[in-house]
Amino acid sequence: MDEKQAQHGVRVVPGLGGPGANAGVHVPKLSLPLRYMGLGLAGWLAFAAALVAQATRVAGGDVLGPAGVATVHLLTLGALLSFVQGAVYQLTTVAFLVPLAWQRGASWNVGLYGVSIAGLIVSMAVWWTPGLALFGAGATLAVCIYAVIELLTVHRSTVHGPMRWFVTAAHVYLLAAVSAALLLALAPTVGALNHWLLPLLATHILLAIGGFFTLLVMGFSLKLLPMFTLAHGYSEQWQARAWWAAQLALWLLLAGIWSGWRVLLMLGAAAGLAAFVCQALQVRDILRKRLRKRTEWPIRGALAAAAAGSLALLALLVQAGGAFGMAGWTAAVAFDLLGWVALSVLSYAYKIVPFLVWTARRSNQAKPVGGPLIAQLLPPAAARWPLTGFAVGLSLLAVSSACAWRTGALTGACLMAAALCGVCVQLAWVMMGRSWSQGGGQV
Amino acid sequence: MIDLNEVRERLREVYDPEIGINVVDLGLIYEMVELDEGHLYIQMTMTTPGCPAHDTLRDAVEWAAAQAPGVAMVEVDVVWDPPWTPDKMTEEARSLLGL
Repeated sequence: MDEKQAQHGVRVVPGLGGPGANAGVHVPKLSLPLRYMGLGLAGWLAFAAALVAQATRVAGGDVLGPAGVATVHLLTLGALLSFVQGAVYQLTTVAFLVPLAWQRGASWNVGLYGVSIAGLIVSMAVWWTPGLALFGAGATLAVCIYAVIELLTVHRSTVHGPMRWFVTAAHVYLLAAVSAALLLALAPTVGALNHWLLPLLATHILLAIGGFFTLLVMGFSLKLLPMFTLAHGYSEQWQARAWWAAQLALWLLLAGIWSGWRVLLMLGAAAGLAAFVCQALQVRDILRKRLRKRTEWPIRGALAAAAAGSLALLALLVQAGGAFGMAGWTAAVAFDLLGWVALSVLSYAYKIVPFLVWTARRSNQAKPVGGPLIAQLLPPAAARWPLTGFAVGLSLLAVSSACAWRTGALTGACLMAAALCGVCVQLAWVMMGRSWSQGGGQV
Repeated sequence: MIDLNEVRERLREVYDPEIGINVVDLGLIYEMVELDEGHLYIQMTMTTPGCPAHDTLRDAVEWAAAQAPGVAMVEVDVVWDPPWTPDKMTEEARSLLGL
């Protein structure tokens, strides 16, 4: 009789089997996603500080200097990818009903990843070449380990369909984005590559933001939205169309980058918009069939993020016509990264983190009934002001940057930084096992 | 002899953590049978395949059922066939969700 059975006072045996019996989930040890998410929170805080420090420079159009490059990677690698890795390790097991292909590797990788990206970002900020090489190699290895673990895990799943296509493609594009980064790093020393610096940079950005983050968010939204809105019986007809349109967009944009033909860039941006429209129609079908009629703030945040993504693609479409030069490209990409990717991740974090913490706490309790519900751990309404502040701050920053209005950009950046601090405090509070709605009492 | 009504009442203490409604009123409990003297078999499902609270809910159902008088052994199977649909909820649960 094991410990749990002893607690029950009776014998508890595994199920009888048969079709579908005990077809459970294979969630990793909860410390694994929480460690990555904790690293992500630290990344968000550091990015908030860097954003305020860089705001006036951004408004002046200077984002390609060492400090700008470091700030961008603080967001993408330090905050987003750190947090996303934790969420993906958890969600993959839930969505694809398989255990992680290499849980121990994923656990070790957090150390390699954390040290490497910290070193890489500092090296970028001061442009220290040996540091860039050393920590860049470590970060490359860590990202590749993550992508391979994820691809192997999904490969073993028997769950098929568009969500699998999105998640698999996202990680293939991540490996391609890392390869483009390596070529960029080699470019100064390899003569042939030196001529292709700009296309390589554009390819790296496209594959990372459009290929990895966008497809990942679109794919997992197909699981998260129905799960958190309790939607049942909705049509899935738009999912595959969204995937094909996204693929078409990425390949057209790549062709446009390397050929220099503006018409391909415009067609690519249009295909990207079509992908967002298909995704929006899919989301509409899900929301129409939801049981939870009141739309919670984190879900509203995710919907606002999708709208921001569409706006960013519209801006890309205009920009591809040759509207505003480098400043226009920078503004469109920054709005896509912060408005679509970052706001999506922050919004879903308000649902994912309390769920994880609740499960971790509950699995350690001798009496597994009673106690607070997930919404009591971190009420969805707690997301209202941080997400609203982030969205308003971003809008102000974007408009001010476009008009080169430094005071407005600084105000927007401060608002975003305050919102990010709010998000981090709330999520960290819950990750420490405290309830946000019960005066900080231990759960 | 196990009083299945008593077991059902115990299971009403087990709440879906996301929805805030107990597993009985949600219609997650498909079948409860006393296979032998004191040997209880429960077949249940989740609101969505791969529900993150799968193991937690299953353990809670095991624990709660084991508290009922006369229960010496509990078996819980989580199945996906037939899949859960909202029409399996009780009227009370539906009204709590505003349906």
